Amino acid sequence: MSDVSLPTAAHGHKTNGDAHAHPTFLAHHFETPEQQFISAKFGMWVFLATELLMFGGLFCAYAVYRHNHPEVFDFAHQALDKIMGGINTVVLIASSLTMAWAVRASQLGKQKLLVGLLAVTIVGGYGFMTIKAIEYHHKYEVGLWVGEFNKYNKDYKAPAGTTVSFGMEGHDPGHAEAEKPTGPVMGTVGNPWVDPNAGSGDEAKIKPPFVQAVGLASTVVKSGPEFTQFGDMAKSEQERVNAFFSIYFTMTGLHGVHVVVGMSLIFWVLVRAATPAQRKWIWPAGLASAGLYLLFCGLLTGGYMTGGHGEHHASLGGLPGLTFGLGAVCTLVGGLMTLLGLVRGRNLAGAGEFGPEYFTPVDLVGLYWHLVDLIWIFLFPLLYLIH
Amino acid sequence: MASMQEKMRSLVTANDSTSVTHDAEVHKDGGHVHVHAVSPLVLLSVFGALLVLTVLTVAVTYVDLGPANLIVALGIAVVKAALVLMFFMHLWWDRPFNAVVLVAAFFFVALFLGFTIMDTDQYQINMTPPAQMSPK
Repeated sequence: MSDVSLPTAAHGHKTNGDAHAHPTFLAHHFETPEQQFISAKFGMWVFLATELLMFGGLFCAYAVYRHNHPEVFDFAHQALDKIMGGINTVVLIASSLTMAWAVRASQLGKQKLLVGLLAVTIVGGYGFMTIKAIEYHHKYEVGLWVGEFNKYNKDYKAPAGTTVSFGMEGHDPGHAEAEKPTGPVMGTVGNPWVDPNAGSGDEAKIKPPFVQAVGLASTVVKSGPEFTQFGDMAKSEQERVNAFFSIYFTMTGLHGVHVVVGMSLIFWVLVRAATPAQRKWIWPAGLASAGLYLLFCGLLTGGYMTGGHGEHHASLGGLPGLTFGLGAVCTLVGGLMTLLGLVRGRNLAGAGEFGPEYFTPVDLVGLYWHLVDLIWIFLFPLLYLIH
Repeated sequence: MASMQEKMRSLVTANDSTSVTHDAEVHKDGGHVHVHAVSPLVLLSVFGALLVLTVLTVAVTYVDLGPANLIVALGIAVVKAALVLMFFMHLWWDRPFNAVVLVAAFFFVALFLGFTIMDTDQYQINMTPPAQMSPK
Protein backbone atom coordinates (compact mmCIF):
# COMPACT_ATOMS: atom_id res chain seq x y z
CA MET A 1 0.00 0.00 0.00
CA SER A 2 2.95 2.35 0.17
CA ASP A 3 3.02 5.01 -2.46
CA VAL A 4 5.93 4.68 -4.82
CA SER A 5 5.32 7.72 -6.96
CA LEU A 6 6.34 10.20 -4.27
CA PRO A 7 9.93 9.77 -3.19
CA THR A 8 10.54 9.57 0.48
CA ALA A 9 13.74 11.15 1.66
CA ALA A 10 16.82 8.99 1.52
CA HIS A 11 17.17 9.01 5.27
CA GLY A 12 13.83 7.31 5.74
CA HIS A 13 10.39 8.45 6.73
CA LYS A 14 8.90 9.56 10.02
CA THR A 15 6.89 6.90 11.74
CA ASN A 16 5.29 8.63 14.73
CA GLY A 17 2.87 5.76 14.85
CA ASP A 18 1.66 6.38 11.30
CA ALA A 19 1.56 3.51 8.90
CA HIS A 20 2.18 5.53 5.77
CA ALA A 21 5.31 6.83 4.13
CA HIS A 22 5.57 10.45 3.08
CA PRO A 23 8.26 12.86 2.11
CA THR A 24 9.99 14.43 5.09
CA PHE A 25 9.31 17.92 3.84
CA LEU A 26 5.56 17.33 3.93
CA ALA A 27 3.97 18.61 7.12
CA HIS A 28 1.27 16.44 8.60
CA HIS A 29 -1.51 18.93 8.32
CA PHE A 30 -1.22 18.91 4.53
CA GLU A 31 -2.58 16.15 2.35
CA THR A 32 -0.17 16.47 -0.55
CA PRO A 33 3.01 18.38 -1.34
CA GLU A 34 1.10 20.37 -3.91
CA GLN A 35 -1.40 21.57 -1.33
CA GLN A 36 1.49 22.52 0.94
CA PHE A 37 3.20 24.46 -1.81
CA ILE A 38 0.05 26.32 -2.81
CA SER A 39 -0.67 27.24 0.81
CA ALA A 40 2.90 28.38 1.39
CA LYS A 41 2.90 30.58 -1.68
CA PHE A 42 -0.45 32.11 -0.77
CA GLY A 43 0.77 32.80 2.75
CA MET A 44 3.86 34.50 1.37
CA TRP A 45 1.75 36.74 -0.86
CA VAL A 46 -0.35 37.76 2.15
CA PHE A 47 2.87 38.64 3.98
CA LEU A 48 4.07 40.65 0.96
CA ALA A 49 0.78 42.51 1.03
CA THR A 50 1.48 43.52 4.62
CA GLU A 51 4.96 44.70 3.61
CA LEU A 52 3.42 46.82 0.86
CA LEU A 53 1.07 48.38 3.36
CA MET A 54 3.98 49.11 5.71
CA PHE A 55 5.91 50.93 3.03
CA GLY A 56 2.61 52.42 1.93
CA GLY A 57 2.57 54.33 5.18
CA LEU A 58 5.93 55.89 4.39
CA PHE A 59 4.88 56.61 0.82
CA CYS A 60 1.84 58.34 2.26
CA ALA A 61 4.04 60.54 4.43
CA TYR A 62 6.09 61.34 1.33
CA ALA A 63 2.98 62.12 -0.71
CA VAL A 64 1.45 64.41 1.88
CA TYR A 65 4.67 66.28 2.56
CA ARG A 66 5.55 66.72 -1.08
CA HIS A 67 2.02 67.81 -1.83
CA ASN A 68 2.19 70.47 0.84
CA HIS A 69 5.78 71.60 0.33
CA PRO A 70 6.77 71.00 -3.29
CA GLU A 71 9.53 73.59 -3.18
CA VAL A 72 11.25 71.84 -0.30
CA PHE A 73 11.44 68.68 -2.37
CA ASP A 74 12.54 70.49 -5.49
CA PHE A 75 15.35 72.11 -3.54
CA ALA A 76 16.52 69.37 -1.22
CA HIS A 77 16.58 66.49 -3.68
CA GLN A 78 19.64 68.06 -5.29
CA ALA A 79 21.60 66.60 -2.40
CA LEU A 80 20.98 63.12 -3.71
CA ASP A 81 23.30 61.57 -6.24
CA LYS A 82 21.32 60.32 -9.26
CA ILE A 83 24.15 58.22 -10.60
CA MET A 84 24.66 56.34 -7.37
CA GLY A 85 20.93 55.77 -7.16
CA GLY A 86 20.83 54.60 -10.75
CA ILE A 87 23.68 52.16 -10.21
CA ASN A 88 21.87 50.83 -7.15
CA THR A 89 18.75 50.32 -9.23
CA VAL A 90 20.67 48.33 -11.84
CA VAL A 91 22.40 46.27 -9.15
CA LEU A 92 19.09 45.37 -7.55
CA ILE A 93 17.46 44.50 -10.86
CA ALA A 94 20.43 42.27 -11.75
CA SER A 95 20.20 40.53 -8.39
CA SER A 96 16.48 40.01 -9.02
CA LEU A 97 17.42 38.29 -12.27
CA THR A 98 19.89 35.98 -10.56
CA MET A 99 17.35 35.22 -7.83
CA ALA A 100 14.61 34.35 -10.35
CA TRP A 101 17.12 32.20 -12.19
CA ALA A 102 18.06 30.51 -8.90
CA VAL A 103 14.41 29.58 -8.37
CA ARG A 104 14.39 28.09 -11.85
CA ALA A 105 17.59 26.16 -11.07
CA SER A 106 16.05 24.74 -7.90
CA GLN A 107 12.96 23.68 -9.82
CA LEU A 108 15.09 21.81 -12.33
CA GLY A 109 17.33 20.22 -9.73
CA LYS A 110 20.44 22.03 -10.97
CA GLN A 111 22.12 22.13 -7.60
CA LYS A 112 25.45 23.71 -8.48
CA LEU A 113 23.81 26.45 -10.53
CA LEU A 114 21.41 27.13 -7.67
CA VAL A 115 24.18 27.58 -5.11
CA GLY A 116 26.16 29.78 -7.52
CA LEU A 117 23.22 32.02 -8.33
CA LEU A 118 22.22 32.41 -4.68
CA ALA A 119 25.79 33.45 -3.89
CA VAL A 120 25.76 36.00 -6.73
CA THR A 121 22.46 37.40 -5.43
CA ILE A 122 24.00 37.91 -1.99
CA VAL A 123 26.93 39.69 -3.63
CA GLY A 124 24.40 41.96 -5.34
CA GLY A 125 22.92 42.76 -1.96
CA TYR A 126 26.38 43.61 -0.65
CA GLY A 127 26.90 45.85 -3.68
CA PHE A 128 23.71 47.73 -2.95
CA MET A 129 24.60 48.24 0.71
CA THR A 130 28.12 49.39 -0.22
CA ILE A 131 26.80 52.15 -2.43
CA LYS A 132 24.25 53.06 0.22
CA ALA A 133 27.01 53.27 2.79
CA ILE A 134 29.02 55.59 0.55
CA GLU A 135 25.96 57.79 0.02
CA TYR A 136 25.09 57.88 3.70
CA HIS A 137 28.65 58.56 4.74
CA HIS A 138 28.84 61.45 2.34
CA LYS A 139 25.69 62.89 3.84
CA TYR A 140 27.28 62.58 7.24
CA GLU A 141 30.38 64.37 6.03
CA VAL A 142 28.56 67.37 4.62
CA GLY A 143 26.20 67.89 7.52
CA LEU A 144 23.10 66.38 5.96
CA TRP A 145 22.73 63.60 8.47
CA VAL A 146 19.69 62.77 10.57
CA GLY A 147 17.88 64.89 13.09
CA GLU A 148 19.92 67.60 14.73
CA PHE A 149 23.01 66.66 12.75
CA ASN A 150 21.35 67.99 9.65
CA LYS A 151 22.33 71.57 9.01
CA TYR A 152 18.79 72.51 8.07
CA ASN A 153 17.61 71.51 11.50
CA LYS A 154 17.25 74.46 13.83
CA ASP A 155 19.22 72.62 16.54
CA TYR A 156 22.23 72.07 14.33
CA LYS A 157 25.56 72.99 15.85
CA ALA A 158 28.19 73.73 13.28
CA PRO A 159 31.65 72.37 14.09
CA ALA A 160 34.18 74.92 15.25
CA GLY A 161 35.89 76.84 12.49
CA THR A 162 33.35 76.19 9.80
CA THR A 163 30.69 78.37 8.29
CA VAL A 164 27.39 76.83 7.42
CA SER A 165 26.07 77.81 4.04
CA PHE A 166 22.59 77.06 2.82
CA GLY A 167 22.26 79.73 0.27
CA MET A 168 22.80 80.29 -3.38
CA GLU A 169 26.12 81.98 -3.97
CA GLY A 170 27.69 80.72 -0.82
CA HIS A 171 26.06 83.43 1.19
CA ASP A 172 24.35 82.42 4.36
CA PRO A 173 22.35 85.29 5.81
CA GLY A 174 22.52 83.80 9.31
CA HIS A 175 26.29 83.81 9.63
CA ALA A 176 29.21 86.09 9.03
CA GLU A 177 30.11 86.16 5.40
CA ALA A 178 33.21 84.24 4.39
CA GLU A 179 35.35 84.97 1.38
CA LYS A 180 35.61 81.32 0.62
CA PRO A 181 33.09 79.06 2.29
CA THR A 182 34.69 76.30 4.27
CA GLY A 183 31.53 74.21 4.34
CA PRO A 184 29.50 72.80 1.47
CA VAL A 185 28.04 75.39 -0.82
CA MET A 186 24.73 75.05 -2.50
CA GLY A 187 23.76 76.14 -5.91
CA THR A 188 27.12 76.46 -7.58
CA VAL A 189 27.76 74.73 -10.86
CA GLY A 190 29.46 71.36 -10.73
CA ASN A 191 27.37 69.90 -7.92
CA PRO A 192 29.11 71.07 -4.79
CA TRP A 193 27.14 68.53 -2.82
CA VAL A 194 29.57 66.02 -4.13
CA ASP A 195 32.87 67.72 -3.55
CA PRO A 196 33.15 71.02 -1.77
CA ASN A 197 36.79 71.27 -2.77
CA ALA A 198 36.08 71.02 -6.47
CA GLY A 199 38.11 73.56 -8.36
CA SER A 200 40.10 74.62 -5.34
CA GLY A 201 43.86 74.59 -5.32
CA ASP A 202 43.93 72.01 -2.58
CA GLU A 203 41.83 69.52 -4.51
CA ALA A 204 44.67 67.37 -5.76
CA LYS A 205 46.16 67.09 -2.30
CA ILE A 206 42.92 66.21 -0.61
CA LYS A 207 41.49 63.66 -2.99
CA PRO A 208 43.41 60.42 -3.27
CA PRO A 209 43.65 59.57 -6.96
CA PHE A 210 42.22 56.07 -6.74
CA VAL A 211 38.81 56.84 -5.34
CA GLN A 212 36.47 59.19 -7.10
CA ALA A 213 33.31 57.29 -6.34
CA VAL A 214 31.05 60.13 -5.49
CA GLY A 215 32.43 62.49 -8.08
CA LEU A 216 30.62 60.80 -10.93
CA ALA A 217 27.60 62.97 -10.54
CA SER A 218 29.47 66.22 -10.90
CA THR A 219 29.28 66.04 -14.66
CA VAL A 220 25.68 65.05 -14.82
CA VAL A 221 23.59 66.63 -12.11
CA LYS A 222 22.69 70.17 -12.97
CA SER A 223 22.38 72.53 -10.12
CA GLY A 224 21.09 75.75 -11.48
CA PRO A 225 18.17 78.00 -12.21
CA GLU A 226 15.79 75.19 -13.10
CA PHE A 227 15.89 73.92 -9.54
CA THR A 228 14.60 75.84 -6.60
CA GLN A 229 17.35 77.65 -4.75
CA PHE A 230 17.44 78.16 -1.04
CA GLY A 231 16.86 81.87 -1.25
CA ASP A 232 13.80 81.42 -3.45
CA MET A 233 11.87 79.72 -0.75
CA ALA A 234 9.73 81.44 1.81
CA LYS A 235 11.09 81.33 5.34
CA SER A 236 8.50 78.83 6.42
CA GLU A 237 9.65 76.51 3.64
CA GLN A 238 13.32 77.05 4.44
CA GLU A 239 12.64 75.88 7.95
CA ARG A 240 11.13 72.66 6.67
CA VAL A 241 13.97 71.44 4.48
CA ASN A 242 15.18 68.97 7.09
CA ALA A 243 11.88 67.11 6.78
CA PHE A 244 12.93 65.98 3.32
CA PHE A 245 15.99 64.35 4.81
CA SER A 246 13.94 62.71 7.54
CA ILE A 247 11.72 61.19 4.90
CA TYR A 248 14.71 60.21 2.78
CA PHE A 249 16.58 58.46 5.59
CA THR A 250 13.49 56.72 6.97
CA MET A 251 12.44 55.33 3.60
CA THR A 252 15.85 54.31 2.35
CA GLY A 253 16.88 53.15 5.81
CA LEU A 254 13.90 50.85 6.22
CA HIS A 255 14.48 49.62 2.68
CA GLY A 256 18.13 48.97 3.55
CA VAL A 257 17.06 46.94 6.57
CA HIS A 258 14.90 44.85 4.24
CA VAL A 259 17.87 44.32 1.94
CA VAL A 260 19.95 43.00 4.83
CA VAL A 261 17.10 40.76 6.01
CA GLY A 262 16.74 39.49 2.45
CA MET A 263 20.47 38.76 2.25
CA SER A 264 20.27 36.77 5.47
CA LEU A 265 17.31 34.77 4.19
CA ILE A 266 19.07 34.02 0.93
CA PHE A 267 22.10 32.90 2.89
CA TRP A 268 19.94 30.55 4.99
CA VAL A 269 18.50 29.02 1.84
CA LEU A 270 22.00 28.76 0.38
CA VAL A 271 23.24 26.77 3.37
CA ARG A 272 20.31 24.39 3.00
CA ALA A 273 20.83 24.06 -0.72
CA ALA A 274 24.53 23.33 -0.44
CA THR A 275 26.15 19.92 -0.21
CA PRO A 276 28.63 19.43 2.66
CA ALA A 277 31.50 19.79 0.21
CA GLN A 278 30.14 23.14 -0.92
CA ARG A 279 29.49 24.26 2.62
CA LYS A 280 33.20 24.12 3.28
CA TRP A 281 33.43 27.27 1.14
CA ILE A 282 30.88 29.23 3.12
CA TRP A 283 32.99 30.15 6.12
CA PRO A 284 35.96 31.37 4.07
CA ALA A 285 33.57 33.42 1.94
CA GLY A 286 32.03 34.85 5.10
CA LEU A 287 35.46 35.67 6.50
CA ALA A 288 36.51 37.32 3.27
CA SER A 289 33.38 39.44 3.11
CA ALA A 290 33.69 40.46 6.76
CA GLY A 291 37.33 41.37 6.18
CA LEU A 292 36.49 43.31 3.02
CA TYR A 293 33.88 45.26 4.84
CA LEU A 294 36.14 46.10 7.73
CA LEU A 295 38.57 47.46 5.17
CA PHE A 296 35.78 49.36 3.52
CA CYS A 297 34.71 50.88 6.84
CA GLY A 298 38.26 51.94 7.47
CA LEU A 299 38.46 53.62 4.09
CA LEU A 300 35.16 55.38 4.62
CA THR A 301 35.97 56.78 8.02
CA GLY A 302 39.47 57.66 6.89
CA GLY A 303 37.73 59.91 4.42
CA TYR A 304 39.10 58.32 1.30
CA MET A 305 35.80 57.83 -0.39
CA THR A 306 33.97 61.10 -0.30
CA GLY A 307 36.43 63.73 -1.39
CA GLY A 308 38.82 63.07 1.44
CA HIS A 309 38.64 66.20 3.46
CA GLY A 310 38.04 64.01 6.49
CA GLU A 311 36.33 66.81 8.32
CA HIS A 312 33.39 65.55 10.28
CA HIS A 313 30.57 67.99 10.45
CA ALA A 314 28.69 66.09 13.06
CA SER A 315 29.33 63.60 15.75
CA LEU A 316 26.92 60.99 16.94
CA GLY A 317 26.53 61.10 20.67
CA GLY A 318 30.19 61.77 21.20
CA LEU A 319 31.38 58.74 19.24
CA PRO A 320 33.06 59.95 16.07
CA GLY A 321 33.01 58.13 12.77
CA LEU A 322 30.03 55.87 13.35
CA THR A 323 28.61 56.47 9.92
CA PHE A 324 29.95 53.24 8.59
CA GLY A 325 26.90 51.64 10.19
CA LEU A 326 25.81 50.07 7.00
CA GLY A 327 29.27 48.71 6.34
CA ALA A 328 29.31 47.39 9.88
CA VAL A 329 26.05 45.57 9.33
CA CYS A 330 27.46 43.93 6.23
CA THR A 331 30.50 42.96 8.26
CA LEU A 332 28.15 41.34 10.73
CA VAL A 333 26.40 39.41 7.99
CA GLY A 334 29.79 38.24 6.77
CA GLY A 335 30.73 37.29 10.28
CA LEU A 336 27.49 35.37 10.71
CA MET A 337 28.17 33.51 7.51
CA THR A 338 31.60 32.59 8.83
CA LEU A 339 30.23 31.37 12.11
CA LEU A 340 27.37 29.39 10.66
CA GLY A 341 29.57 27.91 8.00
CA LEU A 342 32.09 26.79 10.60
CA VAL A 343 29.66 25.52 13.17
CA ARG A 344 26.94 23.91 11.16
CA GLY A 345 28.54 23.41 7.79
CA ARG A 346 29.60 19.89 8.37
CA ASN A 347 26.76 18.57 10.43
CA LEU A 348 23.61 20.09 9.06
CA ALA A 349 21.28 17.44 7.79
CA GLY A 350 19.40 17.88 4.58
CA ALA A 351 22.32 18.63 2.33
CA GLY A 352 21.28 19.79 -1.09
CA GLU A 353 17.64 19.89 -0.04
CA PHE A 354 16.02 21.39 -3.08
CA GLY A 355 14.80 19.82 -6.27
CA PRO A 356 11.72 19.50 -8.47
CA GLU A 357 9.75 17.96 -5.61
CA TYR A 358 10.58 20.64 -3.06
CA PHE A 359 11.84 24.12 -3.81
CA THR A 360 9.40 26.16 -1.75
CA PRO A 361 11.91 28.01 0.47
CA VAL A 362 13.86 29.18 -2.57
CA ASP A 363 10.66 30.36 -4.22
CA LEU A 364 9.39 32.25 -1.17
CA VAL A 365 12.71 33.90 -0.34
CA GLY A 366 12.84 34.88 -4.02
CA LEU A 367 9.47 36.57 -3.66
CA TYR A 368 10.77 38.57 -0.69
CA TRP A 369 13.85 39.66 -2.62
CA HIS A 370 11.74 40.74 -5.59
CA LEU A 371 9.58 42.78 -3.26
CA VAL A 372 12.69 44.59 -2.03
CA ASP A 373 13.54 45.33 -5.67
CA LEU A 374 9.97 46.46 -6.32
CA ILE A 375 10.04 48.97 -3.49
CA TRP A 376 13.33 50.42 -4.69
CA ILE A 377 11.84 50.77 -8.21
CA PHE A 378 9.41 53.25 -6.70
CA LEU A 379 11.79 54.86 -4.21
CA PHE A 380 14.37 55.76 -6.84
CA PRO A 381 12.31 58.07 -9.07
CA LEU A 382 10.35 59.54 -6.17
CA LEU A 383 13.42 60.53 -4.14
CA TYR A 384 16.25 60.94 -6.63
CA LEU A 385 14.59 62.02 -9.86
CA ILE A 386 12.37 64.90 -8.88
CA HIS A 387 12.30 67.70 -11.43
CA MET B 1 0.36 -13.69 8.44
CA ALA B 2 0.56 -11.47 5.45
CA SER B 3 -3.17 -11.19 5.17
CA MET B 4 -3.43 -10.37 8.89
CA GLN B 5 -0.86 -7.60 8.43
CA GLU B 6 -2.73 -6.32 5.42
CA LYS B 7 -5.99 -6.34 7.35
CA MET B 8 -4.35 -4.38 10.18
CA ARG B 9 -2.88 -1.89 7.80
CA SER B 10 -6.10 -1.40 5.92
CA LEU B 11 -7.82 -0.69 9.23
CA VAL B 12 -5.33 2.08 9.94
CA THR B 13 -5.23 3.63 6.52
CA ALA B 14 -8.94 3.44 5.87
CA ASN B 15 -9.70 5.69 8.81
CA ASP B 16 -6.65 7.87 8.41
CA SER B 17 -7.85 10.44 5.92
CA THR B 18 -4.64 12.39 6.11
CA SER B 19 -2.42 9.65 4.82
CA VAL B 20 -0.59 10.56 1.69
CA THR B 21 -1.07 7.15 0.26
CA HIS B 22 -4.82 7.53 0.40
CA ASP B 23 -4.93 10.94 -1.18
CA ALA B 24 -2.17 10.21 -3.57
CA GLU B 25 -4.52 7.74 -5.13
CA VAL B 26 -7.30 10.30 -5.23
CA HIS B 27 -5.05 12.81 -6.97
CA LYS B 28 -4.29 11.08 -10.17
CA ASP B 29 -0.86 12.64 -10.47
CA GLY B 30 0.17 11.66 -6.95
CA GLY B 31 -0.12 15.16 -5.47
CA HIS B 32 3.22 16.30 -6.84
CA VAL B 33 3.97 19.95 -7.10
CA HIS B 34 3.47 21.15 -10.65
CA VAL B 35 6.72 22.74 -11.63
CA HIS B 36 6.75 25.60 -14.07
CA ALA B 37 10.29 26.77 -14.58
CA VAL B 38 10.56 30.16 -16.27
CA SER B 39 12.63 29.97 -19.42
CA PRO B 40 15.98 31.80 -19.53
CA LEU B 41 14.78 33.70 -22.60
CA VAL B 42 11.89 35.21 -20.67
CA LEU B 43 14.14 36.03 -17.70
CA LEU B 44 16.74 37.76 -19.84
CA SER B 45 14.16 39.62 -21.94
CA VAL B 46 12.48 40.99 -18.84
CA PHE B 47 15.89 41.96 -17.44
CA GLY B 48 16.71 43.78 -20.66
CA ALA B 49 13.39 45.59 -20.63
CA LEU B 50 13.95 46.64 -17.01
CA LEU B 51 17.38 48.06 -17.86
CA VAL B 52 15.98 50.01 -20.79
CA LEU B 53 13.20 51.41 -18.62
CA THR B 54 15.70 52.41 -15.94
CA VAL B 55 17.75 54.33 -18.49
CA LEU B 56 14.54 55.89 -19.78
CA THR B 57 13.46 56.94 -16.33
CA VAL B 58 16.74 58.78 -15.75
CA ALA B 59 16.81 60.23 -19.27
CA VAL B 60 13.35 61.67 -19.00
CA THR B 61 14.44 63.83 -16.07
CA TYR B 62 16.34 66.04 -18.49
CA VAL B 63 13.10 66.98 -20.22
CA ASP B 64 10.69 69.19 -18.36
CA LEU B 65 7.05 68.27 -18.87
CA GLY B 66 5.63 70.30 -16.04
CA PRO B 67 3.03 68.46 -13.97
CA ALA B 68 3.35 65.43 -16.21
CA ASN B 69 6.84 64.81 -14.80
CA LEU B 70 5.50 62.94 -11.81
CA ILE B 71 2.98 61.00 -13.88
CA VAL B 72 5.61 59.89 -16.38
CA ALA B 73 8.03 58.89 -13.62
CA LEU B 74 5.38 56.90 -11.79
CA GLY B 75 4.10 55.43 -15.03
CA ILE B 76 7.50 54.04 -15.94
CA ALA B 77 7.89 52.73 -12.38
CA VAL B 78 4.52 50.97 -12.65
CA VAL B 79 5.56 49.29 -15.91
CA LYS B 80 8.82 48.11 -14.30
CA ALA B 81 6.91 46.88 -11.27
CA ALA B 82 4.45 45.01 -13.49
CA LEU B 83 7.32 43.26 -15.27
CA VAL B 84 8.93 42.21 -11.99
CA LEU B 85 5.58 41.05 -10.58
CA MET B 86 4.41 39.16 -13.63
CA PHE B 87 7.59 37.41 -14.64
CA PHE B 88 10.18 37.42 -11.87
CA MET B 89 7.54 36.84 -9.22
CA HIS B 90 5.77 34.34 -11.44
CA LEU B 91 2.28 35.84 -11.29
CA TRP B 92 1.77 35.41 -15.03
CA TRP B 93 1.62 31.65 -14.59
CA ASP B 94 0.41 31.49 -11.03
CA ARG B 95 -2.97 30.86 -9.54
CA PRO B 96 -5.02 34.04 -10.04
CA PHE B 97 -5.83 34.25 -6.35
CA ASN B 98 -2.29 35.25 -5.50
CA ALA B 99 -2.69 38.19 -7.87
CA VAL B 100 -5.95 39.04 -6.14
CA VAL B 101 -4.05 39.36 -2.86
CA LEU B 102 -1.57 41.74 -4.52
CA VAL B 103 -4.25 43.85 -6.17
CA ALA B 104 -6.05 44.08 -2.85
CA ALA B 105 -2.86 45.40 -1.23
CA PHE B 106 -2.48 48.05 -3.93
CA PHE B 107 -6.14 48.95 -3.57
CA PHE B 108 -5.73 49.54 0.15
CA VAL B 109 -2.59 51.61 -0.36
CA ALA B 110 -4.49 53.67 -2.93
CA LEU B 111 -7.31 54.17 -0.43
CA PHE B 112 -4.78 55.16 2.21
CA LEU B 113 -3.04 57.73 0.05
CA GLY B 114 -6.21 58.89 -1.67
CA PHE B 115 -8.13 59.75 1.45
CA THR B 116 -5.11 61.31 3.14
CA ILE B 117 -4.35 63.60 0.20
CA MET B 118 -8.01 64.48 -0.09
CA ASP B 119 -8.03 65.43 3.56
CA THR B 120 -4.82 67.43 3.18
CA ASP B 121 -6.32 69.36 0.31
CA GLN B 122 -9.06 70.59 2.58
CA TYR B 123 -6.47 72.11 4.88
CA GLN B 124 -4.43 73.98 2.29
CA ILE B 125 -5.84 77.27 3.45
CA ASN B 126 -4.31 76.59 6.86
CA MET B 127 -0.87 75.76 5.48
CA THR B 128 0.35 79.26 4.77
CA PRO B 129 1.54 81.10 7.88
CA PRO B 130 -0.55 84.18 8.60
CA ALA B 131 2.39 86.54 8.17
CA GLN B 132 2.77 85.57 4.55
CA MET B 133 -0.92 85.80 3.86
CA SER B 134 -1.54 89.34 4.93
CA PRO B 135 -1.55 91.71 1.97
CA LYS B 136 1.31 94.20 1.99
